[in-house]
Amino acid sequence: MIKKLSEVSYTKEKLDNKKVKRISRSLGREDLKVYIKDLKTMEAKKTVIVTVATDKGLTDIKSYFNKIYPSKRVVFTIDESLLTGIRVVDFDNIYELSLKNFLENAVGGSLND
Amino acid sequence: MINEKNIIEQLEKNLMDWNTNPKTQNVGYVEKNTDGVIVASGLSLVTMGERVEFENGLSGVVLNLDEDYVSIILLGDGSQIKQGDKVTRTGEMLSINVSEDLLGRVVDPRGEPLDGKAKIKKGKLMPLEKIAAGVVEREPVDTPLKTGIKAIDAMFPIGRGQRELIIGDRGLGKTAIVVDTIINQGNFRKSGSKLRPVVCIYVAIGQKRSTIAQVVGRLNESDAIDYSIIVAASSSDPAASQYLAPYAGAAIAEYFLEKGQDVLVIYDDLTKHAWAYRQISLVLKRPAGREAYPGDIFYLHSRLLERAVRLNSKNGGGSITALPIIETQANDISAYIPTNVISITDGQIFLQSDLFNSGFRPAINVGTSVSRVGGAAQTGAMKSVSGKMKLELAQYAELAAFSQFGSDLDAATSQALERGKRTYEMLKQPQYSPLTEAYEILSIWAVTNGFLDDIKIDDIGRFEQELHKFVKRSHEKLITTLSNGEKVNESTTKELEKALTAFKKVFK
Repeated sequence: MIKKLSEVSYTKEKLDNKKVKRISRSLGREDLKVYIKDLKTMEAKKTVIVTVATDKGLTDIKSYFNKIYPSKRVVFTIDESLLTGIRVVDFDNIYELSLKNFLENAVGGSLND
Repeated sequence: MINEKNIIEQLEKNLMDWNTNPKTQNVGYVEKNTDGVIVASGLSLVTMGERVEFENGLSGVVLNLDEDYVSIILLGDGSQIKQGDKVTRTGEMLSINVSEDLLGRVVDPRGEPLDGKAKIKKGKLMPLEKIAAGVVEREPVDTPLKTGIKAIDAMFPIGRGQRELIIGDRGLGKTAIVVDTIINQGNFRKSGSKLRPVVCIYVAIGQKRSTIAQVVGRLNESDAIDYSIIVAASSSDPAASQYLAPYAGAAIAEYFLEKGQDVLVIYDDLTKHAWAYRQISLVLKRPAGREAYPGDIFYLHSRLLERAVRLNSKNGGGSITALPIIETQANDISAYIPTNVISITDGQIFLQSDLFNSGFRPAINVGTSVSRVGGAAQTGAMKSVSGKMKLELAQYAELAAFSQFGSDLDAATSQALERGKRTYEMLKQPQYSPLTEAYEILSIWAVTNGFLDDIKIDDIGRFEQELHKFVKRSHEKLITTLSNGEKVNESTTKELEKALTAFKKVFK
């Protein structure tokens, strides 16, 4: 039930403030908690976080990812610890191709051996 | 310790094999941590029974897949896991590292040593859950697995690949029977039999640590530990550990089965296993059925016991014999779990408290115990002597009930009653003293052929012990003949008669 309410809180794939206010007013404390949680999950599902090591070539990267995920909100962040490469977080899937990850695996593999 | 050169070499090697595909991870986040069960969001690609890893290195197994959440049982102490912690799928089903190194060791269901000895060397990863061998790969049970207990080997023989349930109230000697069986495999190895030696796996589920230590101590004392493996999930371990223990035992057994070996697995006991699974299911909010057990409680045990197998020679010819144990309440074998396991297994050995209290040990109820497939595995020698005994015991049971009325009995009836009493007395056997088949046959033959009819009932135990010593000392050839397993023929009968007559002359 609450899940359905959170689904109808969207208009044209965007969270509708009016709908959210109307729904939240009619919910009790426990249901409201579930509602907020569902909205957060839905928002997370609609968001893709792209992390790069530097802002070099960021414009190209932005246009590329906006094309790949046309129906999702793409957020770009910079994390120097990646050294070089990219990390894409699409809800519960993480794709990473970075020097940091390679080094971690290489050293981790050596230590495990 | 690895040196700098090795680190660089390893890095170079990794660089050579560097996969340019991105690393992909499917993750989730902890929402709830209740009673060893984690509810996590995300993990949309995870499969049932898959192993997942938490940030702190702890592992878990996925047991429920809901629309937005997955439920995970923890394989360890989950007190450090908090809301929001990351969980990563591994893509692996739960498995255990098995190698020959496990022999003589005590491990937990994850294969971690519990005996304080060295770490187990890397071997083969065996999946805990596996579909049992199909019909085509199997062969009928035809090779005996000797327990060394007269009553069982004669009346309810167990074959390699069989599933024989041991059932009874607490404290009636269920564990004693299986420990004797393990010890007897050592005697069997020493006897130089043509049959393959048996690897023994004892799985302790929900037992007191002191009880497990006792079993380990007993196996150590009799050197049986050398060919045994103990998988222990004690009552103080998490329910998840107790739930997984028998599957770990089966996975270890399958490693030796793949090598064409014969394995004996003891599940002590499946009642506590069912309790652990009930606990997990209730926490997972699965619908509760009869006695609050979940609907798949039958499948829980059937899929485990179905892994007991006798493979045909094309598939290596190995076997897994399963001896599950069930603890009853007030001798009630018609309760839910006992009836389930009785219907799955190929027979049961029922221990009864009144027999135990009257001093008949092992307290096996001859009337309700049965072995459905073991007869085919019995040697000709044992078959030829046990048939008569079973018949005499059945007659005795009927006549004993009839004689309660106290009417005058004719000579034949009185004799049958006396014989029956002596047969029962002869079937008594002290703990930790399994016998080889030759001595079992000797005792049974003696009683069924009337050599004990004039011996006082109180003297039968002593008579038997001294008879064994006498025959070992002065009729060694007879023991060798009886050990061959061939049907007792005329010449052997004469030898037996000769030995018994000679012994009775010296027995006081």
